Amino acid sequence: MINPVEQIAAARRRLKQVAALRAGLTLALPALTALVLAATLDAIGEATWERAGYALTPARLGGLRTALALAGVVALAGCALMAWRAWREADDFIEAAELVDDAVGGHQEIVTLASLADPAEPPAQRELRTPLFPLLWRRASGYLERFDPNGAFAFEVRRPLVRSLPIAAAMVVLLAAVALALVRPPSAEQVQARKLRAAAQQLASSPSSADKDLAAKILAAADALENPKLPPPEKLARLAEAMSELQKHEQQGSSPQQSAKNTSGSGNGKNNSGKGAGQGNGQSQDSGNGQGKSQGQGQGANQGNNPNGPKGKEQIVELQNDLSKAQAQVESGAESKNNAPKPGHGDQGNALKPGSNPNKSGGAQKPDAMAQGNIPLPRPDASAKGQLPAGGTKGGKNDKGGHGDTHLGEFPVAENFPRFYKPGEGPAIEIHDARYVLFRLPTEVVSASGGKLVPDTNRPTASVPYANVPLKAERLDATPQERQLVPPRYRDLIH
Amino acid sequence: MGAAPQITPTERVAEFRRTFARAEAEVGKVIVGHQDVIRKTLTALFAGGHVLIEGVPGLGKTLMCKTASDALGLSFKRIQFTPDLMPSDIVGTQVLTEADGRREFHFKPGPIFAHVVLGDEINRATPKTQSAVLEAMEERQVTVFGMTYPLEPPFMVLATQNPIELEGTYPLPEAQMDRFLFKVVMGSPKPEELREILNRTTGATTHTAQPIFPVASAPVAIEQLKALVREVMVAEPLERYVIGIIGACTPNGPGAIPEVSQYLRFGPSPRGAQALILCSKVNALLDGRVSVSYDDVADAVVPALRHRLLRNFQAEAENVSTDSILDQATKRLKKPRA
Repeated sequence: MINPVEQIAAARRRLKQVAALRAGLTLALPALTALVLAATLDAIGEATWERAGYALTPARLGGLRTALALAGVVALAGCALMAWRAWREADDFIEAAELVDDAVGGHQEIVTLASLADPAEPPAQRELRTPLFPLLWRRASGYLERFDPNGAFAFEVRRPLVRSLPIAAAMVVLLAAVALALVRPPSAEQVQARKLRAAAQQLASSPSSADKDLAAKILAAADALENPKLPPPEKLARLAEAMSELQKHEQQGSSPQQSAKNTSGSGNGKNNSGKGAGQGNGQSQDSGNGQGKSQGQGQGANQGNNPNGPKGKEQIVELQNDLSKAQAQVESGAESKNNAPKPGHGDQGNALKPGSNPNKSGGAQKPDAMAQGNIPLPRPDASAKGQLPAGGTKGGKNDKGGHGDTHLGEFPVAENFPRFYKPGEGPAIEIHDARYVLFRLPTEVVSASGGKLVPDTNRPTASVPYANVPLKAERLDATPQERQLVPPRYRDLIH
Repeated sequence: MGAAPQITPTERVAEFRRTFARAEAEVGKVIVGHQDVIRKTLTALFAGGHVLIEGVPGLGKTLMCKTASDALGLSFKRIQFTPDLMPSDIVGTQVLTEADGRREFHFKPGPIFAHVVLGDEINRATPKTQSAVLEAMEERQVTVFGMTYPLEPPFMVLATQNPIELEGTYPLPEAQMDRFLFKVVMGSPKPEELREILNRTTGATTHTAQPIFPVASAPVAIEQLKALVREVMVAEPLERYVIGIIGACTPNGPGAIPEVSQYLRFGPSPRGAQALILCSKVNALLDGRVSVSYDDVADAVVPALRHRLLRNFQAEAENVSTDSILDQATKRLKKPRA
């Protein structure tokens, strides 16, 4: 004969497990949701607000991630607490007997037996037993003969999970609401900082410790760049640090291979070929002779100098460019802040701000010396010096830097600088009462092999014809009939 | 002389069920329908309580009581309550007798001295007379001229009252109402039952109930069965359930439902809880169990508590019955694991 008390005790153990699991699962889904959201916040951001052109500052992103992780941890702790409480509350012999009674249809005979035979009760409880107790015991045993606690009290995972689903959904909705409240259109500095971060992450994945150090510097510079509380000089200092670190890194990479430069000078360094040419000849628009030769030599030098190959070189140059841009943005931001008519005026952001006249001579309009000096200019070594193109700017692939004064000053750009300043970038420009504007026309692109013209369809072109010659005198007084003479992208430069 | 054979609990329970079923069957030979009233009456008998039967005249209340006592082999007395009925007419009195030249007072027992006493139309007697039954019902003894006379067990009072013709009646005081274990209401018979009644009562043959116990041993046998009822076990959750019902029916009490607070002046006394448990125990035995279930309690709620609730003026004005209030209370108070 089955001992009903043992069966009830077994059922109680099972019920405790079920209760603990059920209670714990009630908060499991929200906890999991919070942790997953915290872990994938970057990916979520890329897929949502960043795609829509918004951004979260690292501080806010970090705060949000911390809050989510904290919520997840708290929910997990809640899971554990609830499970523990449920475990303790389910530790009731009579209650277990009631559930068993329901399961077997015992008409409360199991409960009655349990209340009179509870092992935890004092022996005085047994005095309540009557001569009919043996009959009750037999009947209870009969009920429990085929009773299986594990089968009768199965783990129900679905119900607590479904119950917790609204909490998890609320968490997601809350995250969406908070993100909506926190996201802002990224400032130019933020965009730049993001680029720096991405580059730093690539560097950080390198096994080299030097790369890692450089990545750390760049990350610090990116953080500083995005930190609104940091004054511009501080930001510039950080950027300068990163730049100098970058230069050091570049020099370290190039010095051991000095001897290889000349021997490998005739290699295929197509992508880097324009650097030497652009740097050397900024002013001339002539298509110099001997471009192919010098290009080939220059390429060789560059190729030989790069310890990481063309891709690594490109990365370094990109980093330099990004750092330079960041510096320029910080400077322009500080400058515009100083020159703004009123603090907090609505001309912040990407719009051009009034600044000093770039047409005036003086050092103020020039980029600071550090920024300029940090631009990595490919310098062919002594053996290759004589092979540099004398003045033919066409000799380089990208000779944008060689066109001299364009009212933008001698802005520090790399030879490979791929584009002009956009509104909001670079030093502030003020053009007042301009009678005419001289625009620099894109030059034709000559392939490295020489002789063949390759039109660059991706270059910015004007939608209407315009000329870079002064207007005729009779037309000066005339009402302009063509309002599209100036390409729209440059109109904001003229006041 | 050998020892008496030991009766197992199973046999005792079986004997109870057999006896009860036979008693029901015997009463059913005479009384058509009203199975619920018969069952409740017998339940009250085995639970050791008294029953107040309410119904219009001519439904067979008196016959049912008489038949029940006949079927159980118990002595039966009937008292017709009238306004001029005196307490001594019920409990008995001292009479002066003369024997051998000596005059002495001798106690002449009244009709209360029987196993089953039927108080017919009990609400027609004055409160003074009605109260004469109080001591007998509760103490199972009467006191006359300072002398106490115990009533032989089993003692049971079956009182009837007419819900109509309230002119010249004396509604039973609350204290006396509380002493009845049950109040059962006898309704009008259904057409087919009425047809059967006509056949049985107007034909040549008469139906009588046969005693299931020999007259001499009936009281002892019934007392043994009553003792068995007391041995039925009640789990603690069931006791809490009963207490919860009492609380739900007590105005301004813990767990009182809104209807109770709105329509009742007083709720059931602890006797109500006792009645519930006792009746539940009998129900459990009738089901072959030795422990009380929630269904046993629920089945006893209305007959055991309906006469213990005192309605207020609003309930009477709105014709809200105690039965409906109890129904509400039972529904609101969910069984713990149901």
